[in-house]
Amino acid sequence: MGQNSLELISLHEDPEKVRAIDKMVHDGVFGSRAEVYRTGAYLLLTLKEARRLAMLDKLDPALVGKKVRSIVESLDNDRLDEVRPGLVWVAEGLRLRAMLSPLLGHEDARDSYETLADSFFAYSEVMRQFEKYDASTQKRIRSDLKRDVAALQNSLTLTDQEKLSTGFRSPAIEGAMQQIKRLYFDENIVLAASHSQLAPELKDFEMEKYLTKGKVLEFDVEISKSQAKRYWTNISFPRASEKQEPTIVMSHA
Amino acid sequence: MLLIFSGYDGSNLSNITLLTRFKPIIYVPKEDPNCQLIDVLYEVYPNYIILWFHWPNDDYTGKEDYEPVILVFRDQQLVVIGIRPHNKYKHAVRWVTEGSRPIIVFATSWHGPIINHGRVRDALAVGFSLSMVSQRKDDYRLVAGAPQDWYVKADSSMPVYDFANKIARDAGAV
Repeated sequence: MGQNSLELISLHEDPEKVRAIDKMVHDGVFGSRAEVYRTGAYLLLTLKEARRLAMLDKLDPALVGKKVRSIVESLDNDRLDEVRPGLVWVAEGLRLRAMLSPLLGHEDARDSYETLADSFFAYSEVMRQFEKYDASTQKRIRSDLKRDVAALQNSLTLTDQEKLSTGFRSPAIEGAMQQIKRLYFDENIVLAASHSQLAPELKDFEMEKYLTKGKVLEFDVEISKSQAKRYWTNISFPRASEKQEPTIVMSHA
Repeated sequence: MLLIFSGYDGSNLSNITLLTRFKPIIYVPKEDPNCQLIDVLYEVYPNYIILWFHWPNDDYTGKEDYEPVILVFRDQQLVVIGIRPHNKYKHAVRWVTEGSRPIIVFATSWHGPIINHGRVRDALAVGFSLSMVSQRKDDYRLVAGAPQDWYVKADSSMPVYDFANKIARDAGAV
């Protein structure tokens, strides 16, 4: 399809939409009107697939998963020249995910994807000029980048898991979980709590529907008694055998 | 819960009470000791409060970073949270709380704020708040004040006060 055909399409558009498209081109969001239409067509072609992947929580790993893993490998092996293209890819993937979010019914998630896309674009710019930084700044950049790529990788792993794990691992719960793991390792115990023992704070996090299905949740995170008691009531701490795997199990009684 | 204020001049007492109730719990990236959160400034207005989260670095140029978080109140409740990651204004009307306090995750070296909306698919907010990459802070000190004029607009589309007034108006708080 040539440029002329695309211009013909635009003649039949609402003038306000054409102005909006031209503004996006002017602002540099797209390189040309044709690119806007290609993007629209691409979305139309892929949306069904994207929607299915999103339902399975596979969309993010499909968009950026491989590149995130390759960035980690490149950083670990000091192949810095490979890092920047990977960062640009990841940033563009996150930006596409931001655009898709409202279409997939994840309106709330759009801002987070956009913010992280901007951050990874910023990292790609930093890496472009990496040599100009002094040694201590270079060390800090590597360390920060490793931290943030690890965080993104964690997010992708979470989306690989079933919804219930993602729902449970919300930040409010994380504090309790950290201490729960500590308790496990300090005292070699396993935490067991039934649905009826959940404190109201946990019920805010859509736990009920998961637990009433009788699912078992396993965690590889930390745990502490005093903090845990803020979140659970009538908690029971049975002794675990030393052979037991170092995971915390929360089961529906 | 430890809430510390300094430099407060006694005006807008009810909003200070609201700040006590709704002061965000934050997750900040684990950084070098010289690069960590310095302090948090606050400005109190009749319908909103602006918190300025202050780091010594925004990127690797040595420029200081002030990340505004706007808390808009209506009928003694927090109704909107405004943020400005990478100089783009965004706002949320739904968020995860601990008690009454919202949770805000500052991600990456640019400290871009992310709000965990509490949806099952908020995996990014969760990933960037895990203990291996971030540090939880719920008892940080608040100091009355505002950053230098440049940070009011930074490289964004409008001054932060205009945005705060806009989201407050839209929320029926004005």
